[in-house]
Amino acid sequence: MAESILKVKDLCTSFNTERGRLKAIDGVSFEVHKGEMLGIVGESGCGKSVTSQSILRLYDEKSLAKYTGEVRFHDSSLLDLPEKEMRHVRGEKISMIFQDALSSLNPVFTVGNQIMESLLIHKSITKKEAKEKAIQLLKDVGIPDPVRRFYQYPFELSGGMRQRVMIAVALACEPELLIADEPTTALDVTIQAQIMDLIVEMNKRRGMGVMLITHDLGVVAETCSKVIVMYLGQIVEEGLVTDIFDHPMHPYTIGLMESVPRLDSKTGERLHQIKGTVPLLNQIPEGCRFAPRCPHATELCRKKMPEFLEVSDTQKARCHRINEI
Amino acid sequence: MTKTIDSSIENVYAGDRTEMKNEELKQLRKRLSKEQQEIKYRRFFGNKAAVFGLIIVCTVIFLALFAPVISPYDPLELDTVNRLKSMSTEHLFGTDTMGRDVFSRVMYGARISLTVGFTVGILSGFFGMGIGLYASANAYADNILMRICDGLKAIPSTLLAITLMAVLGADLKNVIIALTVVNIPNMARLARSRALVIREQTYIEALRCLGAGRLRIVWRHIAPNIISPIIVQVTFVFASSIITEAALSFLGAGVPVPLPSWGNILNEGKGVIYQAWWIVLFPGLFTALTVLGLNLLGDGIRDFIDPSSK
Repeated sequence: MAESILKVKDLCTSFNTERGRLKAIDGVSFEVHKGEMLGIVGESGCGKSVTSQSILRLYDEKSLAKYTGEVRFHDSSLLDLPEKEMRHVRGEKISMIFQDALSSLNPVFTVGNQIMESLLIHKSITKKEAKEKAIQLLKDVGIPDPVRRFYQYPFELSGGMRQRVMIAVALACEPELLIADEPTTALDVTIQAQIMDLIVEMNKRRGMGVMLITHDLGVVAETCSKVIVMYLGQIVEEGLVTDIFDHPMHPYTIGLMESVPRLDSKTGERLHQIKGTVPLLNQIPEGCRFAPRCPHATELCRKKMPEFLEVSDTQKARCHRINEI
Repeated sequence: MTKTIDSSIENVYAGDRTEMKNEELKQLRKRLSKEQQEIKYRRFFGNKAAVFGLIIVCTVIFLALFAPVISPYDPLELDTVNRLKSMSTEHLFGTDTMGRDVFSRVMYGARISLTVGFTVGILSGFFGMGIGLYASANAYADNILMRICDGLKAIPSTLLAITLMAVLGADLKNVIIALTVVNIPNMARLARSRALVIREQTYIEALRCLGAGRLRIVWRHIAPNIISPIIVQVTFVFASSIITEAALSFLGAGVPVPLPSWGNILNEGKGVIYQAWWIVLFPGLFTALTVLGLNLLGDGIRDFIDPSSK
């Protein structure tokens, strides 16, 4: 197994809200290795994005958020780093791409300026060198006419082009870990495929670790090697792609798999859905968090939180009844 | 145009070279930015109201700049024989109570009114933006600064200006100071509210992901995003300061008397409005036209500088 870059252990993030302190994620642990692509899947509101933003400590710690647990990036503990050093991690060591590429680019600067920005923040290079590097980056992410694009504003580019620019910005300092937070959600299917190909290519070519956050199971199956399934701030199942897709253990994962439309399903058949909705954070059920929506729930499930049990060497699931289902 | 640019890009990238020839790049950039400038100019000059505003403002600025050349008389020269003379070829706008040439006084008055308006606009824009941005970035300072602004805004602006003038004394410099103080709170509020909106945008979060520091984000990334409403507001303050200055001078709390400002001339003419209406008409007309022109221009500038508005 390749060298581990990021090690997250028992990470909890809680927010101060009007309804008191709410735990958005509760005891999340995982590891990302060099050159690995890790998929994080789950419904909206399950804590995927909070996990990624907590790793970079993007929430205001003075008034809003509180982090506990441990985030290790190589040898440094990110949760203990002072803000000033944290800034050197962001963008240089770990960078992030967002869902909506239009609102992720500053409308008053040219595309080139924004790619140069991250280079100028972290590296001590001249503007001229930064410019050459930026144009090279635009070319790397597959933008035709890079010189022309360099001088254009974000609103002059198409959605797919903007996402490519965002990727160029994120890759500018050659980070060791890329967090892609639903990078293809706002794009149409053909462009989605192109962008995913680009991310996979960068992952292979640079040996960069990638955390892919998405709710598109198809994308995960195609690109990732490991998958984490999250539900209500907890990891409910983790394993290799083959494990999760071939024999999912947790009822939630099974529900997710069945909710994907299939080519071989009967005509007129209704698509499976997981009943109910994700509960609010201030109404987290006692016991197993999925129990109220689970078709297999028993008395025990409603009372006691299940352990994160090993199913095989590579697969783990948080369910009392893994052996029965 | 586009064709030549495309082919020059091909030249730059011929043979998949990564190094670039700086000369070619520079030229390409020049041509591209020229192309964009043309689009922008078309956008501005296609806006008839803005062009009309620009013409008015330019004319008034021209008159003010060349007042000594244009004016046939010294604006301060008394000629008691020719008091309250109606409009004639000798005195284009007639003469006032002391026989001074109203035309010359209005031309010189333009100098003072524009100086006051322009300086107040720029100063209050500058300080207002600084204060607003600082407040948006620092919660503690925000509370203090905004309460001060609220306090200043609670007093009607003309009243506040009169009070300040009473304290500072009637002087051109003091008029500028007083009007700047009056206008800063609005400007700071505007800058702050815009900055708070921009601060929540994804691209600011993305910048934080890139490791940009707080100062860099505020001054380099938020500031250019709020500048266009500020510039528009500056032109409006420019216009309103001309009115407020005229009001102050009209009330005798503005520019001291022998100096001709539009407000002063109005003030002197108000007593004889039935015998010599021209003394009041022309400075009033100039004030109104200039303010109209500035407002039209302000709207035009907004469309012109905002790269995403079409």
